[in-house]
Amino acid sequence: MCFSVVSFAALAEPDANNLPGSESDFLDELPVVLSATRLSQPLDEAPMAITVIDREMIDASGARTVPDLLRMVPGFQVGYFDGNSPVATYHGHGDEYSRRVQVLIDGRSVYVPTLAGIQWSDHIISIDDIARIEVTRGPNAASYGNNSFLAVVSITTRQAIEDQGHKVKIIKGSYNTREGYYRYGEKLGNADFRITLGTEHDDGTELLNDYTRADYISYRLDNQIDLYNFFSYQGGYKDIKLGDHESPPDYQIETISAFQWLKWEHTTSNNNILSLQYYYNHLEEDLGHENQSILLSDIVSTSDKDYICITRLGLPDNTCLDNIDPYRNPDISLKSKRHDFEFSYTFNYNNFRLVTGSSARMDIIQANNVFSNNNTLRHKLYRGFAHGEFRQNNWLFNAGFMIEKNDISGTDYSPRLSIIQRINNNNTIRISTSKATRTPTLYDQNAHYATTVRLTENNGLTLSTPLQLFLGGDGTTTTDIMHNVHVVSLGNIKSEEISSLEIGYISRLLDNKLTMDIKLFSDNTDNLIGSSDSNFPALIPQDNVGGTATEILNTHKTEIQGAEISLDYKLPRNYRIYTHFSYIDITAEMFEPRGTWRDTRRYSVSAPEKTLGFTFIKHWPQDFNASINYYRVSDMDWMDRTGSTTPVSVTDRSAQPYNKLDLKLNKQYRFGNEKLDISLSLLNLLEDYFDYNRTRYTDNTFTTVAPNSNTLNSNGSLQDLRAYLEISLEFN
Amino acid sequence: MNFVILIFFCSLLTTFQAQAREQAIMISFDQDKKYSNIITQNIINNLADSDIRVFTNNKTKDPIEPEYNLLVTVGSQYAINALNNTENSTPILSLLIPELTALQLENKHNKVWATQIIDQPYKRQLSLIKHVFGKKAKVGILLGPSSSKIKKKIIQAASETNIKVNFKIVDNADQLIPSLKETIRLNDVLLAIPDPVVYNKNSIRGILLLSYRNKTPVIGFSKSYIKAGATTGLYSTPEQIANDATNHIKQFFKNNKNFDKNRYYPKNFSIDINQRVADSLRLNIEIKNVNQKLNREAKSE
Repeated sequence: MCFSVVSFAALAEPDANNLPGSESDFLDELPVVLSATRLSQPLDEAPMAITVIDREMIDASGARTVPDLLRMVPGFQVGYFDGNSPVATYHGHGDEYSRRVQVLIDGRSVYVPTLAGIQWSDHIISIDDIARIEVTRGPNAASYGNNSFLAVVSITTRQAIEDQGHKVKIIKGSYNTREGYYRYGEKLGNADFRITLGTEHDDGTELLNDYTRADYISYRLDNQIDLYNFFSYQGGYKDIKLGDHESPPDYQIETISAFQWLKWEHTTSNNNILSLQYYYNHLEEDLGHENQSILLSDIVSTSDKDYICITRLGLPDNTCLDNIDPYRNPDISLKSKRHDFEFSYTFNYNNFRLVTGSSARMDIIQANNVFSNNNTLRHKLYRGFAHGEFRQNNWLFNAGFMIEKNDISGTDYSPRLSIIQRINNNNTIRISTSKATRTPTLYDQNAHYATTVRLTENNGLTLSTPLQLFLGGDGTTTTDIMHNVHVVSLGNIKSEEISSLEIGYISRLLDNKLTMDIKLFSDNTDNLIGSSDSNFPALIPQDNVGGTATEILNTHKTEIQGAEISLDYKLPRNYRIYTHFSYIDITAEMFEPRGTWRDTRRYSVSAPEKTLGFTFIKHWPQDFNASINYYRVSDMDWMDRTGSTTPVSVTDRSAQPYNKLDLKLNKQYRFGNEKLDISLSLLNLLEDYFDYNRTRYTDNTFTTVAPNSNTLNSNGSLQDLRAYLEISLEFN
Repeated sequence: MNFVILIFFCSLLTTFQAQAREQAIMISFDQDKKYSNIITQNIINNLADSDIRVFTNNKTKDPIEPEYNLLVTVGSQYAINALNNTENSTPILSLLIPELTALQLENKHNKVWATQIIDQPYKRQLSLIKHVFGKKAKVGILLGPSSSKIKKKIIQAASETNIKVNFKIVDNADQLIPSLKETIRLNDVLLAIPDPVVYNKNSIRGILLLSYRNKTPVIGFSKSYIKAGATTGLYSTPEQIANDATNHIKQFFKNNKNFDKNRYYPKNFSIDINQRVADSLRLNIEIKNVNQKLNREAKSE
């Protein structure tokens, strides 16, 4: 011992500052990174049927848009209204704007109040930035509020920490597709930052004026302030120019989309979470109609010309409109701003979990020549919600409730109840019932979409007296102002309602490698907002043309029944087989006499009776990956299909049955920390098809005839063979 | 002259020690730290019925009085204080010492020093992985500049448990994310081994999020890590650490005030699971079964 005292001086003295670790590494608290809000909900604990599209499925899909990814979800229908307007709906009832499906990006609703739906091309998100998509298959207004009517698509983007360094990507492909993407992520102290720049360019589909030109920037900052506080900020801006196939050839829709999003999450020491979220959505859309010169005689049908010239004006022929000078349509533009603030508190106590909160939202909308006046409209919405989850032995009880008060439909209630029994570790059965509403939008309630222009004839001369008397309406008044109403709402539109009952069965087999998900469902909708095609002079006296206008009304109710099944077999880093099948039967009934039987028929076939999806993903150790996606879809109608309104046969459908086969090959090369990724996607290998509207050449009896410009009855977006080459490089 | 003083000083010390008629320990700990208090209090309680008297000291300097036979330090800082104290040559038992710290300090003193390591033995951790994920599970391990020194030890443990482990060395913080991405891509499980360059408060978000996105479970080394998002892991609670320490103290006196080892690994341990993460990753972990198996193995060690 004495020796040690003497010799100690010769040794380097231990220094606490240079230690490779201390007990605090083991015993100190750490921030909860994978909190319940950030985790994907296990299928067998969700109160309703859900499908999670994870990153592996996204990479394997070859999808360039989010709707394309939704083909992987049982019960979903995806179609291209045109090349720049992909549409997705669940259990039918869909049109160009996916009105009855709610879409959230990181909890931010991107449902557009002016259009009353989802405009996918406006979203400021790249497929690369998505971490996962959770789809609630069924109404879930109790959790997400109204408009969560048929399904909810919740997109979670990657946190900034996941994307450090640089990534450059280019895509070149069919129809002049040229896309560029650059992402840079960096650590800034406790915070992580990411910025993404992108450009999208393609010519859409054959025959249609449906190109896309878009440039965007988005950014994200995540900051773990301390153990208990996490702050996240996102923003983005997108400039979009889309070819508009519904209008004359060179129409262009110009849109500016922007958003700001802030979230603060406070986790208490006992794992309760207080969360505050604010977001602002900004959308400006100019349909560009004022840029076009219109010749009235070109757009008025022969029968209407006969009515105006011969019947009303008593002229010998129908040429009275031929001398009217070209005019320009009034400007049609929409501007919407949404402020949304939400507070929520998640409380955990033993077997009980409660999420409660409230939110307030204001939509500020200005639209030119769309509503009955061009004043700024404000729409306020307040919500209160609570969801309780209670576990008792093998039972899980889940109840949710939301109450919403808004300026349009008053107060709506959306309850949900589910009971889950875990039969054993691998088998779970669930029964759920819920109710949801879809509030009429400002457009549904206030639409007055009209063309109001001063007409002249023979190069600027005043309109002739007979025509002025015609526009005057009563035979004595004269005016040269044409006011032609296209869409109108007389107000008093009720909220759409859905009540849903589902039985679910989840089984995990083969050592958890295989998951089987079965859902049987029976849903009833009521007060569906539709339209009538009527002559309106009596209802809308200011319409001095007296043609047909569309009135927005509650017209229909439907019953939706069927079954869905999915099987997902995963052998990590080796292969994965995912397949799903859905059977959907819809019965529609019209309760409003002014509705149309055409819509009754369309609702009843608005979903394919049978849909099969199959995905096979294979990974080889040499960083080579391949995937096959196959879909077989029965025929169906979209609610706003073009073409014949009185088809020769009730079996006529706008979207024909089709087989879609896609193949993606991918090879990765790694050089230290750098990664080069090359992919080739081949889409629609089996056949060409139309999944929305068909291009049809028919004569006036709707018999198919040889294609020429006179026999073109409707333009569809052809889904034909496509090839895309994608090259990306990641480096630090 | 110096030699005479040294002889005198040594004689004085010997006389002083001989006067100790009973078994006594001094626990040196930081009273501001909750876990230090729990450990100290539990040792006091555990030894209440024994012949061993317990004194405590929460100052940074070791006291000379009252006399004691064993200095028990709680935490790395208190271990270093004791090792640096040239005026005291009492044997030291240091608790809560990370294995890497023990390795570094072992060659920098000449005291009678034994450590109770806070890390769980690698063999036990690999055994946990075997029981939860199967023996074919490929285990990825990120090692930093400090933890690289124990690579051989892990290889040895892997060979004993018949588990395949793959290492990736991270030299600096900039390499962490790329190395992590590669490791989780190529392996079924990520076993976290403490290293200040790899696992720290700043890196935890990236490690847990990226692993989760890749569906790679992380085996954490602390209760906090599991709470933060690791799927499962082994650790010793302060009470369990105190129980182990009590046994070592008793053994020290039974052994004529000698340590039988200079490094003790935890005998008492807990297994924890982050149920939400496990559910989300579709993992069924039979925690009771696994715990029983690991305890059986620990007893036979």
